Amino acid sequence: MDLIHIEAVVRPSDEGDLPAYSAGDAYVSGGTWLFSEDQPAARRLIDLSAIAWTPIATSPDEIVIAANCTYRQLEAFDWSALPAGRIFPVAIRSLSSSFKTYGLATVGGNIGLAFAKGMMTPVFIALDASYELVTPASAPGAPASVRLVSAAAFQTGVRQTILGPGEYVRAIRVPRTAFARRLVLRRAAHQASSHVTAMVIAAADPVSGAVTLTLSGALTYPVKFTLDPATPVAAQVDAVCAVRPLLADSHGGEAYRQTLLRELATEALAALAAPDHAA
Amino acid sequence: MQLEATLNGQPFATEHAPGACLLTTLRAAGCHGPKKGCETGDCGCCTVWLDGDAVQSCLLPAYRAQGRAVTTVEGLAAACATPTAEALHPVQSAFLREEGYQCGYCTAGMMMTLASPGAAACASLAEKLKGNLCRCTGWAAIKRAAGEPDGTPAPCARSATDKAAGHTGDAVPNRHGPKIVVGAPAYTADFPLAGMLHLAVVRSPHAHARIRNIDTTAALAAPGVVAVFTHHDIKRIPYTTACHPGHPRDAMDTYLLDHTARFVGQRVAVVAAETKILAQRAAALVVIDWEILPHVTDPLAALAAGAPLVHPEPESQQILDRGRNLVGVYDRVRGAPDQAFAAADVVVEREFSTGRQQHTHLEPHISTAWIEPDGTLVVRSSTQVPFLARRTLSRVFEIPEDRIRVFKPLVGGGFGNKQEVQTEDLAALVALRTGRPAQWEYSRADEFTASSTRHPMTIRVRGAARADGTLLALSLDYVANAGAYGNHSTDVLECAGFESMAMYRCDHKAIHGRAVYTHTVPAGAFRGYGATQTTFAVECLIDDLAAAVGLDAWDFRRRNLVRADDALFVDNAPAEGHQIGAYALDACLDHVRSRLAAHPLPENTADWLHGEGHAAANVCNGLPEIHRSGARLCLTATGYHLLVGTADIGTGSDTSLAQIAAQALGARFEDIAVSSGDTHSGAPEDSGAYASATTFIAGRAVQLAAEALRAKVQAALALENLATPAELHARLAARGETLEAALHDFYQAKVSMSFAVVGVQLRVHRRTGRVELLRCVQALDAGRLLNPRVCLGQAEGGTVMSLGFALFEELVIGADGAVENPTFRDYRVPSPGDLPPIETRFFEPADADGPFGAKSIGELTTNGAPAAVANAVARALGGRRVASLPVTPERVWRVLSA
Ligand SMILES: Cc1cc2nc3c(=O)[nH]c(=O)nc-3n(C[C@H](O)[C@H](O)[C@H](O)COP(=O)(O)OP(=O)(O)OC[C@H]3O[C@@H](n4cnc5c(N)ncnc54)[C@H](O)[C@@H]3O)c2cc1C
Ligand code: FES
Ligand code: FES
Repeated sequence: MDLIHIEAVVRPSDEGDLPAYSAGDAYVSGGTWLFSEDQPAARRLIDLSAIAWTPIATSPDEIVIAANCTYRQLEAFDWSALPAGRIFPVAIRSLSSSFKTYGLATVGGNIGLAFAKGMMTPVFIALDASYELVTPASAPGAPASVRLVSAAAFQTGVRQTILGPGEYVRAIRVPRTAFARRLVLRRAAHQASSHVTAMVIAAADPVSGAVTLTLSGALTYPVKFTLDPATPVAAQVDAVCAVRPLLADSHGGEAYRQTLLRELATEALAALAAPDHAA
Repeated sequence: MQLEATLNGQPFATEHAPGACLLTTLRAAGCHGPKKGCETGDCGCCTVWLDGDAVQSCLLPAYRAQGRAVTTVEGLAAACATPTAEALHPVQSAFLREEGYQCGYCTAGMMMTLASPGAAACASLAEKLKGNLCRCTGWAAIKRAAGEPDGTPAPCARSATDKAAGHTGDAVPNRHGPKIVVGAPAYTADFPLAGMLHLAVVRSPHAHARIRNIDTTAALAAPGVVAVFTHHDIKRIPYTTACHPGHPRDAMDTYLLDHTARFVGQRVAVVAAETKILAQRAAALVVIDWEILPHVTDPLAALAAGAPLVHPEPESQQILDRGRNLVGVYDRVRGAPDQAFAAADVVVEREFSTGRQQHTHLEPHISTAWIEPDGTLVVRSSTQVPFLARRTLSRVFEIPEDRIRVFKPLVGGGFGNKQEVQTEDLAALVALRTGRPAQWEYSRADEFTASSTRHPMTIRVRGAARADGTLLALSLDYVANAGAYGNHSTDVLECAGFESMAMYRCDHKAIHGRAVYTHTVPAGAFRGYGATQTTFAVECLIDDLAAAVGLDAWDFRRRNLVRADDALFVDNAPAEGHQIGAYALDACLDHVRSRLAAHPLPENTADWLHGEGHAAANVCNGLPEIHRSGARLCLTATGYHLLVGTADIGTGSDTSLAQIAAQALGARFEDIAVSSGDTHSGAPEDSGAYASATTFIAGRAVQLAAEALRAKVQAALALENLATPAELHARLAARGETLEAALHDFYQAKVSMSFAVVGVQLRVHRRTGRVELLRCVQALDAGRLLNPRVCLGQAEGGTVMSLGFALFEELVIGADGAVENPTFRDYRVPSPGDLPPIETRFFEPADADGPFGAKSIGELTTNGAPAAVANAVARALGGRRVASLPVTPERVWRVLSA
């Protein structure tokens, strides 16, 4: 929709040309969420989509995904050498948005939104990723400040993150070892094309044999735990739900969502145990 | 900002606001193919290609199109390397051939999506269409157009492409199809006027509050603002947004702009400015000092003594009991129900409630008003009721009706919500006060929070039967939440009580219906008109009653449903204006029963429970006596010109009415030009397109007028010794004469009933309560089909809309009275991935009073599906019931885990 209060747009192709942030500024990446709602507080758009970061860079130690990497780029990347990467197309196709947004919507935008229904943060938590966060310099020439936080510590509630004013996500750094994991994603949604009401990612580490579960969608923000093989999975899910607030909205109440998490966790683990599982 | 790009192969340059999206930028520059359906990325109506990739142009910042190639539906054919013989893209040709549309509002976006390279990479049609919505077709026609038909058997003996002379019974293509598939300007928003002002309204943030003071100074001083109006600027004349002919009983409780807000979202001031953005910005500057008053959102609480009153003001009229928030009642008694219940072998009682469904026609409400040089107020509007809207405007502005013209171009769906004056009034106000053309278009949020909805109802039903399965007594006690304005409530109550209860033959009946004001978004007319809710309750009860007497539900219905020769009863006298007419309800029952039996339900598994259910339903063919229609037919040089006042709102009536005229005149379909939905076309006055009246009443009027003209033509041919009507026209024209026939003020003294039976098979997940539809079979008795394809579209579309009501759709109102889910993302309508194949079969007994034997079909399939689903779920759950619609997974789960 038209963002009626916007008075200016800046769209640098060089990160160094990003302006100092001031009140009324809004970062826009793909814009697929920003332009889908009224933005009464925004006066200027700072567009990150043209910044020439490498969408996906690989090194011996890690895989670095730029914040403005689009779903299309993420889906098109050749993940054959990095098996866990096959989770990305699955996660993307699990969004309620159309394939028509894939060339616009970005990983950073999804993370920045910090929805309970968000797709990327649970995936990155399951992969032990860290986010590189940048606060632009407050004056020209002054250095920007950069910090690295773990994906698990980034989101703190529904639409809440640790981002400070003006701070943005530059990149997502995933250790290469994590890509050796076997991942399974299971989701529940009210309808075939609606967003998730609950989601579970099960991950098995080939070296240690440890299995983790990342629960999201039903909770106010995602949580990951290592499975204790000696305890029934439902009880472990319940234990998490006792400490991490559940979500209640028109898509489902708390108790129901907890049931979904239990069911999905059981399903995901069963799929993980199957000999040739698909994500 | 300046945008320079390529649009459909041509250089394109335009100005836009920095925060504008591409959709509004393209439309403002005169490119009207991409449509505005939601502006939130959910409906896909706005789909265009950017450098060959499909995008939703409402989500794309306009500045991002800089230097890029934009393709819209207007350029689709040219962008295609292998156009078809019709010089169209193959997808366009497929939509035309399969008629993958009704109103056509979604079609450009649907085609731009399906034709795009990204679609080819999707695993399924459901995935391709995840970001597209269609509210009319029920998707089956779109699946056919996309080359993925459901493979269900043909609905009737005639082939879907048989169009012979284009008479009734032929599958004549929708006459608007060629326009629709190329994205030609066709809808109200596609015709902007020079110098046109745009409206934005200030809406109440409170459920109940009085304006102590309203300050428009800042808004008036804002850039581009031409006028701001509040309740201080208008004469306080009570009216109703509901449109009914004759002397309606609707509560007159609405004011152009009110000093009191009675629901969150009520409009209280209007700003007119040079652009829509400027109007919206200025609207945010209107400062209101509110006196917040207590509110009530629950109808039962609103009935209780001491509840806050919604309409205490004495100047409002036709309110049954304003001191108890009672809009109206519908009470009927037949026989002695109390004694019958007391004496019966078996009595079953159930209580149900239904959710608040929203129409979500994809074209929002929109009106453009202007003043002609001769002073006539003209309103172009997306309306179902041009003549009645004119009458309301006449009342509100105290202008004689003949000084007002209301007309509609193509309408992008209505489903009852456009049987109201919603945008016409303020657009007219601004045009009258400023002398400039003015347009008001609802946003999707406006539709969800401030247009109207289906009445949520709490329904208590009771039935009594003899041990042998004879139905003895039925009672229906229902409370409808009217919301903040009476609107259609009074008549909705009647339809709800009559249609559901007249369906069964028993000597004892009691009906007690009440419509209650609350401080919530108003409920209005919605396909089914109240009977959808009550039929749901009665049809669930019938299943349980059958079970209680130990009879199969099919047999119980067969035994107790009305029969061909019955009169219809809700009290001791047979209903005067209603008759059964042609009858094939029994055949419908037997057909659905046998089709379901042909597919035995799978065994239950560790994960899934299976269930099958069915329901019967009916719809009256318009309102007897009250609904007025007419037709004018003129002999022209090229054939005939049919002028009707009724409005094709995407239902195909312009096509089927022309088929009637062609047949009655002995002409070909191609020879009939049609004008509809215009108070100034010369067409006789018409009550409009609602209450399933178009076929049975307007259609009959067309037939009679055409027969009259045919007789005149034949007489004149004999007199003039000529062979063809064309020669006759030439001879008459040379003498300055014309030949025509007109039928005014036509009504049906008795309206017939159409019948439908629907059955579904589904499965329920044992632990999560998820319901998956496996199969849907329906049989319809709508008399002779005027156009099998149009009828199939109506049947499929109505059923899917009701499957949505049954399973998904509910506007949720919070304790503060606000709608909690006013977006398509949170208010979910059915999409292809949710739907089973729907098999439709028509039985075609000829109705003596309908045009060429036809009965009405538009609302017919709306009423049965919810009970069929609920009955199937109850079977799956071993007889336990989910008592509320929609049957969400969570509600099922609650029953499962109880
Ligand atoms: C129809 C539809 C369905 C959707 N369904 C889903 C869904 O199922 N699940 C879901 O999670 N989302 C959904 N979305 C929301 C959204 O489209 C996606 O989350 C998308 O990934 C957002 O990316 P974007 O680049 O378009 O974000 P933008 O709209 O550009 O930005 C989103 C937010 O993130 C901020 N932001 C952007 N980039 C950064 C950055 N680098 N650092 C910090 N903050 C930043 C922006 O300021 C803004 O607040 C849906 C949207 C639509 C229109
Ligand atoms: S108008 Fe763009 S998706 Fe609905
Ligand atoms: S034809 Fe699809 S919305 Fe009307």
